[in-house]
Amino acid sequence: MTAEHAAIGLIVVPMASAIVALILRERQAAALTVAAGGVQAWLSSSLAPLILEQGAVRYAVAGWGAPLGIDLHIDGLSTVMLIVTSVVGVVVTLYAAAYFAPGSDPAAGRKPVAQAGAFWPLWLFLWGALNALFVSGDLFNLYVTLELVTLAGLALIGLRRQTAALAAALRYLFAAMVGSMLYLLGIVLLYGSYATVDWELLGQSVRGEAATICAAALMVVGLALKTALFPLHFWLPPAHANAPSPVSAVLSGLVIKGSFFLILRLWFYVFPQVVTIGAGNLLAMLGAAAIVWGSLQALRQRRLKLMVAYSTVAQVGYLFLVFVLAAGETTTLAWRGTICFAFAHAFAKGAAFLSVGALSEAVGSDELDRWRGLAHREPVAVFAFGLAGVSLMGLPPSGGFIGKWLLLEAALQHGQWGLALVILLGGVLTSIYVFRAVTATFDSDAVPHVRPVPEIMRWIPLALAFCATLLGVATGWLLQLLDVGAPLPVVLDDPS
Amino acid sequence: MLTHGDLFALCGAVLFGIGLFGILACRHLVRKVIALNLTSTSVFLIMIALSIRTPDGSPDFVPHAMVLTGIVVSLSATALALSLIRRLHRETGQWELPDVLPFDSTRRTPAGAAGYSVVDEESRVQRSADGEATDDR
Amino acid sequence: MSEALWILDILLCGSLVWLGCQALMMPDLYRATASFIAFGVMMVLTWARLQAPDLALAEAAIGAGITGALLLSVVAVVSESKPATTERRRFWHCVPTGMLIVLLVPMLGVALLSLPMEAVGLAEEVREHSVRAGATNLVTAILLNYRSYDTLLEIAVLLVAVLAARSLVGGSSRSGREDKSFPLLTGFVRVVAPLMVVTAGYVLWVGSHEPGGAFQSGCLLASLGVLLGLSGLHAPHRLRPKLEDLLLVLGLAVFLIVGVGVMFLRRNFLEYPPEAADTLILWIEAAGAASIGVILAALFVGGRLAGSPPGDEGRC
Repeated sequence: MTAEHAAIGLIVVPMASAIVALILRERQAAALTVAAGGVQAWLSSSLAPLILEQGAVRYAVAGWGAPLGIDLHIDGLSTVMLIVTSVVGVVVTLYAAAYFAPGSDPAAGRKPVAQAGAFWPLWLFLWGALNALFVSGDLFNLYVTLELVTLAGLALIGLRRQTAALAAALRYLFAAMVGSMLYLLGIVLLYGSYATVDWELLGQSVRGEAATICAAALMVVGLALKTALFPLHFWLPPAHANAPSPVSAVLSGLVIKGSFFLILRLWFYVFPQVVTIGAGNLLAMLGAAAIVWGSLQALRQRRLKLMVAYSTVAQVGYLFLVFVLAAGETTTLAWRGTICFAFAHAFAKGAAFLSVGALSEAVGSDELDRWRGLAHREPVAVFAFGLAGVSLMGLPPSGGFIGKWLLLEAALQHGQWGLALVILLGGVLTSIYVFRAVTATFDSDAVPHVRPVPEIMRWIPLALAFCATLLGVATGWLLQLLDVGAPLPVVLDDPS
Repeated sequence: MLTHGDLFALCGAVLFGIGLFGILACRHLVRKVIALNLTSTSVFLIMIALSIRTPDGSPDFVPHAMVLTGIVVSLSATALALSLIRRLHRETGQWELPDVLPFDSTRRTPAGAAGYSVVDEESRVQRSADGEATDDR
Repeated sequence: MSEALWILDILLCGSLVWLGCQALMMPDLYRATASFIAFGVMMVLTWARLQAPDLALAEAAIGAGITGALLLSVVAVVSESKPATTERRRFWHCVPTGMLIVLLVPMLGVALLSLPMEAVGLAEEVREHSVRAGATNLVTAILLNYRSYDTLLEIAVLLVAVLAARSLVGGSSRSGREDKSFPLLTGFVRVVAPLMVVTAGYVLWVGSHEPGGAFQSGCLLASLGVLLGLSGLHAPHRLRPKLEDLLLVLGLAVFLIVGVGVMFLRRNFLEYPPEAADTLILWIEAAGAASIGVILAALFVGGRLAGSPPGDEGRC
């Protein structure tokens, strides 16, 4: 099997399964999704050695090739994102199968979730669109995949028709659409200047003209809005907190990375000649502000899901530090650190949301006060949450630690003491709210009455959390893969 | 020297501004959706206005295909937005998003937790009659 | 002559801006929606003026037509509902928004004007390969051959919108209206329905060498479906749900089958063999038109045309 065929498979399998799932009944659709997930996991894992061997691969869909047709571009970064999508996807699918299934004992009080049948085709479309996003080489095609991801995500947020979720979904919709419009305007300007929307060709032809600079600004702002960078993060906490738990895991773990992936592609591959130190500094400062603000807000929350959602706002801030740290000799270091961090975060945040979901199911609410003493009843899920927290805090040997360590090293080498301090501060703040949540559950005075939770829903988050924690040990292959097609050291032009 | 294409492109830019203002400033959700459509149409207008700059006069068709795709995507987004709005109205009787960002977990009712200060009694009764799962998972 | 063109262009642009403002500022939502539909009609003229007849057709059908119909059906519910409790009007947040726009639009204008006066774009490549591509209508060639992958994803986007409508609105919101009869509407639909079917088929077939194609044709079919439902001539819920589901997925399914099928001929995904390109495009477009028709009609009704049969729990 070639790398190109694996990539095509990763797009076609979920789409085809979505079509079939639409027609099937819910149980069969769930089984089909699990099977499709398994196939995708196999495809993405076999992609890795192929890419390591061949380097970055270009594939002309419909045979025409850029600039006339659409090319797929599969490099190390794509492969890493595909792998994390597959693994988190499979895990979430298994969890969702239990989440949406009605309990076998109706007397135990587990009511079926209405509209569960719509989950499977929507989730498969989301999954396929994410895969398509990570391998596309054409900016307009990326716009369409991004829209597919957003719309499927919106439909999933509003799936259970709860008021808070609907309002949150609408807020997200308007924010995301404004972001898409800005991005599309950028494409218009770029096509008008260079007669192509293929990002590799653009990277070769881009010059520092007025229209190009405007396009860069518009696209980065639009995508930053979609990635919920402070201060454009207002839509994220309600949307991720009020969605059903498996959906929250996917949104925070994967969807956010999609638009961020696009910013990386634009910044390092299309606009390296155009971006300035000032722009990089601005993004990094906003990232630092996001870390502090997100963590402080997370501390204030009484609802666990909101706390985890604000934690996402903070962790997104870490991702944006790369735009100032990946310059000169620290490029590789910052690049590796950021992607490693994103990779670990997908696992950790997924585990966090899934375990919070299981615990909320047990108690009937996600408010911290109702969780006192829960550890005595649901030790597995609490342990999973704690373990996920370990990676979020950045403690060794977790993947989060590796990511933060690399970023810290890059910051120190670059002389950015402020950023280094913020990175450490973020870790401290995260540990405060994680500890507070976990210690509350150990309170033995108030042991709550719990409802039965399906076994899968307890153990799956633990598996994911273990992945996040043990990632630190297995980063060798990850870093090797990331070097394939990694951007050359960026030298930012000093406007002065 | 302003060409015809430039005129339409600038018109598109102005429409983009109007539409963006509408999305941010209008309170009624349906009006926001109209503004969203206005915005996307303006971007398409700019794209096509730029496509007639060919020296021999016949247009460049690639932007046409992109805009056609864009029109369909924008329709899908509109339809999805209207579905969400309809459902929100059925649940709360409101056509606007609340001012207060919905983080206030002390409000006990579902509508209250979403930030709506007016609890529509009818819709609450209807919802519990639907028998949907109301726990927070 | 050129002055006349300039006057036309200025009138078009002026009317677009005017109607856009009207749509946002009119307090009555019905009038605002009507302004928006009028805006759509002006856009049709604009596309025609900018030498984009395919877009004019699509805008008329989708932009002004279906979008306008969707908005009107929601606005009807708005008018029926109780007037909202008076919210305190907040104007202060318009100021920073307004400032942002006032900065953004001139910047955009300057960027646009800075683009070169003449640019070929990809026009030449498109023309060069159009014979191999299987369609002389260049827009169809691009949509269904050069950039067919985009079109595939776009159909998936439509499907997601329908699925969302199903799960949120749950179909058949028109069921209360069949008792009313509108003789003028019924008579009109009786005359127009067969014409619409023929026109839809024509637009589909002619799309390979003249403006037209799957989207416009699908829209015509959807409009027919909506009209039939509104006039009560054929209740849409008589369509069987399984058939409806199959029609919904037919377009995307055929696209994927063709795309993967050609891979067995040692070609790339969606790379049609040149001698079969026009046939494949026609098949994909036909399936697409059928799907788009059902999708758009379903969107109008709230996600599901067919009434759900009893005892069918847990299906999407």
